[in-house]
Amino acid sequence: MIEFNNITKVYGKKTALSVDQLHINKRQCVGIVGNNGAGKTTMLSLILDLIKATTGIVRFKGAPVSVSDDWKNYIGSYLNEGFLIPFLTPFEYLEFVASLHGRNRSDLDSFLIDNASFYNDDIHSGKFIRQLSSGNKNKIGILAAILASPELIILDEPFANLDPGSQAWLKDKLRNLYNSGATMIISSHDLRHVTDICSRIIVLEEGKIVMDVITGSGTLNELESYFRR
Amino acid sequence: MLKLLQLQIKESLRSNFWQKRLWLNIVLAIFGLYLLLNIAVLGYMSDNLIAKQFPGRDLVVTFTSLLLYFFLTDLLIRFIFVKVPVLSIRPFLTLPVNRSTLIHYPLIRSITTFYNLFPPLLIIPFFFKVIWLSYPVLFSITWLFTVLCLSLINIFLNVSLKKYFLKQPLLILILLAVIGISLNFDFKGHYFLSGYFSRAIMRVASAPLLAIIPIAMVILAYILGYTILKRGTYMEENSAIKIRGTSVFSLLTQFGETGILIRTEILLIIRNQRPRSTLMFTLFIFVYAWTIYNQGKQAHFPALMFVGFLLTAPLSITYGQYTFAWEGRFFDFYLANNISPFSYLRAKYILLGSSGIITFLITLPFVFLNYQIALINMVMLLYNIGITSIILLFICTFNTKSLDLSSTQFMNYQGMSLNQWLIVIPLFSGVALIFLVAWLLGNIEYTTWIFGITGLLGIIFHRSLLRLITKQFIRRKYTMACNFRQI
Repeated sequence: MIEFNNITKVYGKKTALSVDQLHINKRQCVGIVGNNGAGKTTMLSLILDLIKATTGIVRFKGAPVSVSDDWKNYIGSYLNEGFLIPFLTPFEYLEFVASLHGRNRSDLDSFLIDNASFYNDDIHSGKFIRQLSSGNKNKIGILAAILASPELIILDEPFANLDPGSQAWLKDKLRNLYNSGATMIISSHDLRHVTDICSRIIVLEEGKIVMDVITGSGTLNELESYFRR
Repeated sequence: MLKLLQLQIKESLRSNFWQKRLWLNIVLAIFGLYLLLNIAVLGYMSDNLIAKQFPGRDLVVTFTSLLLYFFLTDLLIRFIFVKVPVLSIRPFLTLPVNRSTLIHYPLIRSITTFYNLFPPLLIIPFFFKVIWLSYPVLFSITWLFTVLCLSLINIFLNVSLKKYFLKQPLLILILLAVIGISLNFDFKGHYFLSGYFSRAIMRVASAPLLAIIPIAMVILAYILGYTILKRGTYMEENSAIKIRGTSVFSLLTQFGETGILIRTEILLIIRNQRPRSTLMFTLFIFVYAWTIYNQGKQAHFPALMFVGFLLTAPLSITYGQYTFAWEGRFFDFYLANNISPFSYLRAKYILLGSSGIITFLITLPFVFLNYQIALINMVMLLYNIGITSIILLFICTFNTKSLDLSSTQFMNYQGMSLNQWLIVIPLFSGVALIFLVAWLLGNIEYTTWIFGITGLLGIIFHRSLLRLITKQFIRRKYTMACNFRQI
């Protein structure tokens, strides 16, 4: 589904990412882990065509993401607050995103009913997004990303700023989405969450893939000892 | 209070603007000194000017009555251009700093701004040249004291206006109407408001005990400012913002992706302070148009063309030059979501064009003053929709600084770049070129035809032109997004 071919992304003299070959197949849930500045967000931004690769091509279903916008019909994503429109209310924002994916008001209403336990009253309170707490902003971004049941879900640090209850809910939700056929790429600093959800873990260090493993019972320990060294 | 002042100085010196735009500060400082000099000369020469303009009238009474307009204009200029030195108080609310100190600070600090030199520089030369020499000492001093008190009232009223009345545009319109109506009466020789004003000042000056009235007015203005600022120190008050435009523009969503994007952009304008205050510059365009249109059939053709150009592109001139930069802080949303770049640009094109249509309709009644106005505005509307909007969208793909939507536009250079200065060149050179062609053809009035035809061609081929800009947008989007992320 996603292919990286000889990708590098260089900022000034620093190589933020250098990946010769990477294939993410359909129905995989890939966790991207690494220390700060390892290149996780750069990798996600390249898939979403937010930044241009210095060399190489990123492809989605065989087509370069920088050439066609077709991938936008299949990918739901939330990387950071830059994905939220601050002067809209959460409901207006979700309505906007839903309409861009051809969903109508009743589709949105039923989606919100299905996921009501994730968000609190803020969504209908009439507050603007800019007035919400970081955790609630994250929730709105995540809801927008999964709203149109996309084939590929890309989330950057989805558990950050979430309360324990919401983290548990999100974990279950992502597992359900994965089981129902969605492909996912999730970056996180929380090794436990990632190993609980993802079927494959990629470890990045200084822009390079240093580990690419299928998740098993010992993966968490393996990762913990890797980062402890 | 002193520590707060130190912080304010640090805030200014460490701001991106001060560090990156030093040359602009130097230019502004020279311009400021030049203005001060002009005001001082005007004050010194005002007795001669009054004697020439109003022969036979008492110099002091006339000068005092004219001060009414000076103070009203002063208030308006302060409101538009003078920044209130308000620190962001949130970090101090939990520190051991008195809440009242935080409120007194901007009020007292506002007395020391550069602009406050203007009133004394106008008044004091006249005072020493005329009043001091022809009136008793006590009268002279009381007169000066009263007039300077009025200047102080304006300083504090400005704080209230900025912090509270900015959200009440109707009050600004009322203030403008009062100035306009009063000026109109004066020009017709009725001296309605200015007459009362000068009589009141002269009365106070002749009975120094009455000086308690201007003192009381200064205290009242200060208390008003204090009360309004105090309200703003409670965070829950700040967050109680009215949701505007939820249902009014919902109809637009019926027009597909473009309609949805137009609605979102309208919400951006009406829900954020900076784009809203940018739109207030449109008022100046209307005031300028009014002065030209008031000349009736005497108005010069090129002046009418220029006014027509400004009037039928209000959003392009004020808001449009920052296209894309308004959305800079959430530009990634537009790139990562299911939005076609063509529709995104088309929505902006339609919005810019529609604003011209609205102002064109508003100015239609002026046809009764001069039939040429409707014709000129019509061709300029075509030109602005067909050509100006297209040029503007193209140039704006070079915008690389995102705008902070929550601040005001007045005297705010955040997000401004060389692009905003250079944008004028292609916009106006097109207009100048058409004038040149008409002049070479031997009749300046041919410009109406040329503007009309080029505009019409632009509208007919707007889809193709937008496709070209879309290609440019796709080429530039990475650079734009990368720069927008650097806050």
